[in-house]
Amino acid sequence: MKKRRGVNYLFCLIFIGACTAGGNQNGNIAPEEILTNYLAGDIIISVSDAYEMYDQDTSGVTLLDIRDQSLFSKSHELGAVHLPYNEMMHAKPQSFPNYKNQVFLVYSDQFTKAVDAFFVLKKKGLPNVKVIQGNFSEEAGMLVDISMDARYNYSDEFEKAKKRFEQKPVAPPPVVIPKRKVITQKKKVVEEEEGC
Amino acid sequence: MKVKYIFPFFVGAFMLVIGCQQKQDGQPKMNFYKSQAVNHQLIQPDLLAHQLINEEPDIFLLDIRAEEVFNDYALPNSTNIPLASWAEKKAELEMILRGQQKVILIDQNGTDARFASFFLKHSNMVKPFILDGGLDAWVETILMAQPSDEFLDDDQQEIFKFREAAAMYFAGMSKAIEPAIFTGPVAKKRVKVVPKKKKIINEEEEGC
Repeated sequence: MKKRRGVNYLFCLIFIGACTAGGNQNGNIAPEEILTNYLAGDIIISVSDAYEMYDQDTSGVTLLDIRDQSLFSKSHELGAVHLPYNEMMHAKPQSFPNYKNQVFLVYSDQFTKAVDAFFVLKKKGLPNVKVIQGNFSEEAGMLVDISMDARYNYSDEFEKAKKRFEQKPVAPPPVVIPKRKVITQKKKVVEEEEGC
Repeated sequence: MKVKYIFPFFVGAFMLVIGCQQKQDGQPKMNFYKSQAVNHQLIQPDLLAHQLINEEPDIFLLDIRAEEVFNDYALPNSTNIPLASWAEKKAELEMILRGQQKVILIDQNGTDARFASFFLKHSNMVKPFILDGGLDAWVETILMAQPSDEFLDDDQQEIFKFREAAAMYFAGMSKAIEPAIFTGPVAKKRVKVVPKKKKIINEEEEGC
């Protein structure tokens, strides 16, 4: 009996170990690794580099357009695969052929949307995902580079705002005086004047 | 008797192998669809300005830009921990953020903050907010608030008035910057608003 108990315990331990290893929901997500890769410049890729990468290995690289259907049907990058952001939540990685060895280059009409899509795809378990540093322009019909630098010189704008309010001080809100007081004050002044 | 033990042993070993494979593939089956959404919590510049003006408690402004640009301009009472140092100084970061109720990440355009937010959430530290559009949007919305030539309805006028007042408020403040980095939680400086004295006797004096 004792031996049998021991075996049962052993079985339970193995079972728990298996469940823990298999049930780890974030098994593929390593936040430190993603952050390090991002800071090393391995996640964001310029438009020209993306085109070059795609041209060199068309079969190994997938351009992923995450815009809405209406925008995609108007124009898109040649050879791009369409996966709208809203539908991405319910897509299965297996729907992409050979997804483990593919490099996915994500683009959208807004760069931040493509960045959000990156996180979704990583959670899906796609190992090689990069975000194209550009927005798809409908007018140009192609990806247009965007700058990651600050659009404004913040300290300059701060000084400008400071000067603006120094030159034209905004009037303080009018002080509302109750009507009764105003009337009595006026009457008193009039009476005094008449008295003089 | 030995034959009896072989079966459960193989079942357990089989499940262990499957579990390890799932971990390697990165395709966890549990909650596969529920955990997909990114769900970044974004806060608009207007709302942040409103909360800062009203000195709402429990707000921790975490500026993740490089120290040089932070010294050039920063939001009042913000603390600088550059994103580049996060991976190395994870323990210190955790210590600083421990107990913070509402962490708002500030960068220049919202991209760095997204990666920072992902890092914080998946490291089980905090679930931060991101200033939507970063300081670019902040400057554009608040500091550069200009009257529009177009016809504004009542709501738009109210928003514009608020933005102008907020710009005056923030432009009037000195650049309050926390001097030390990684020195633990620092007490926030509060700006005292001194009410102006009302002039009441002017009219009477003029009358005489």
